[in-house]
Amino acid sequence: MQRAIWVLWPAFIVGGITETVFFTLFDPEDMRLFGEAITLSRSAVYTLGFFVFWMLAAIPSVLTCFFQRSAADINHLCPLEPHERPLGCPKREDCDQCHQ
Amino acid sequence: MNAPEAPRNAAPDGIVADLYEVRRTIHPRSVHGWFANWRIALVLITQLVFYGLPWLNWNGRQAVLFELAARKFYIFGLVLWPQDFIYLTALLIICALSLFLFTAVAGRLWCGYACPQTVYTEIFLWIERVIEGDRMQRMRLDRAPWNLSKSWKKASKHGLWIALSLWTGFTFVGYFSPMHDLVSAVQGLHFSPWESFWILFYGFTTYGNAGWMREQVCLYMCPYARFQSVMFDPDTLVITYDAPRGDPRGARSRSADRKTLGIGDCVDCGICVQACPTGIDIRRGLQYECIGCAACIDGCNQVMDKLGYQRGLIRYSTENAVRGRVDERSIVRRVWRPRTLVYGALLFAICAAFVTALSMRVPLKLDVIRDRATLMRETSDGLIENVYQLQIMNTGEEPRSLLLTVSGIPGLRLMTPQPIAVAPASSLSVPVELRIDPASVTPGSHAVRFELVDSAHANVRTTAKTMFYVR
Ligand code: SF4
Ligand code: SF4
Repeated sequence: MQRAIWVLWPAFIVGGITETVFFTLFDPEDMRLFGEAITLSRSAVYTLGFFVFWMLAAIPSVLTCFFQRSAADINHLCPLEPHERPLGCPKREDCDQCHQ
Repeated sequence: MNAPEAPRNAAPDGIVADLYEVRRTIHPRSVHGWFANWRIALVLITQLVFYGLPWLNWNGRQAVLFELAARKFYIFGLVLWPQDFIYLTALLIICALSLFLFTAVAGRLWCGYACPQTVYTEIFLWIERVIEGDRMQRMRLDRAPWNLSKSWKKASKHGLWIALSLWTGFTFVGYFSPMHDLVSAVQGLHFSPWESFWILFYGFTTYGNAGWMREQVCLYMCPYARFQSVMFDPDTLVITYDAPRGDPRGARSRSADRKTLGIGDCVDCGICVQACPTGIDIRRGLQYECIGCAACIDGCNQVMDKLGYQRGLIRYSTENAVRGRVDERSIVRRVWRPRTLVYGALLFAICAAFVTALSMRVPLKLDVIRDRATLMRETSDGLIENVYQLQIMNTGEEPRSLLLTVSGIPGLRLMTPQPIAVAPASSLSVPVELRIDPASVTPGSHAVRFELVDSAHANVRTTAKTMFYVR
């Protein structure tokens, strides 16, 4: 939940700015999608465009979170039993910060 | 007196947070006083403007309308088109610079009095207070087991919040799409899906931000809260606790002499902490969590009055004054210092440029809308025809007789009777057909340009570009 907000909120700001700049410069009625004129109303294009920009802006943050995962998050097979794992290992049995 | 309240930021660290942090609901205590009155006044003024403006008419149309679907912004007598975005940019810069200037002079005035986050939180708190009572009653209600009366109170509170939020969303959308269309959509119950979506979206945001998130928006989400301290310097007016006067703190009876007790003016009643909407203790010094709402000043002054002490144990002051580096009386004189002078000069220059540029605008606008239904068609005599809708706007105060020409492809013919008459300060929609012999043009899209000239004033002219399609 917290991570989702970390990702979505800054992306919302960037999406809003991008949307404003983009649609100030380009009119949906002049745009063509795969060579076809867009038949949706301007309000529809603005709304959908906002979500596209929002999601695009979220991708970098998602990737940042993804690449931040530690070795312990990535590794699956550990030969040690949970209780044998070294102190401080996030997958140790008694670790109260493990989410898995 | 109440026991001292632990400030919000005294919460233990290292616990898995759910939203941004483990959050104790803050129930700010209501206070009365000079600043509280100012806050109420600003809530009323800003909301009167916000809720009222979209209903105002001007020259037979909505006075303030950022009509996105038509890509036209109306601000009273001013009509801005996408080509005019430079004016909006300038307007944004003016707002930003004013914010910098205010912040440098007196800290977070914006946050404390005018930010929608503060204003709606305030309104939602009023509703909460009317239904659930003041701080103590609300805390008791939150702890109480669920029963009929509690459910009824909570339901009516949320009901009112939701109603207000929806109204806010409706008003907000009314700035972007004509109010009378929205009203008739409501009356006929035929909403456009996009507008309904944004009404619900904005309504939900209002409800969530002002009802649930509250100070968390300021603490974790607001970009301004993160960089406002950059504009601060030792001469900025901020809300401060006068530690030399207040410390050491301690409870006392009203008749006791603090000198003999060896304590300062602060009775450690915790009212400043209880009043604080972000739940901090201002006595620990200036913190980024402080939104400058001055509720703690009012709260503390009430206590000082009761004890017969001098007001202002918590007050607006500057770092220099509190540290004794400058005299309290010179605060006003020190408002004008290099930083504020630079902000002020920049602000003045941009305002001047903005006004000049606005007054020199050509009072004629031309917008070309292509007929979307048919890209092109063939006439009975074998010519290729494209159809356009010209939106001509005369923003001047005199009627005009206009001549239209087209250029871009040799041999292109304009099938419109000339001249075109436009009444003062009005717009006209003219259907225009362009025809060309297919032999004289290659297939594809060609750029063409319409030019409009006032037949009486050759310097009043404007152009618009569009496309001519040939298959
Ligand atoms: S911190 Fe941000 S959201 Fe909070 S009052 Fe200030 S400007 Fe508004
Ligand atoms: S410390 Fe005082 S001025 Fe700052 S937010 Fe709290 S009550 Fe408002």
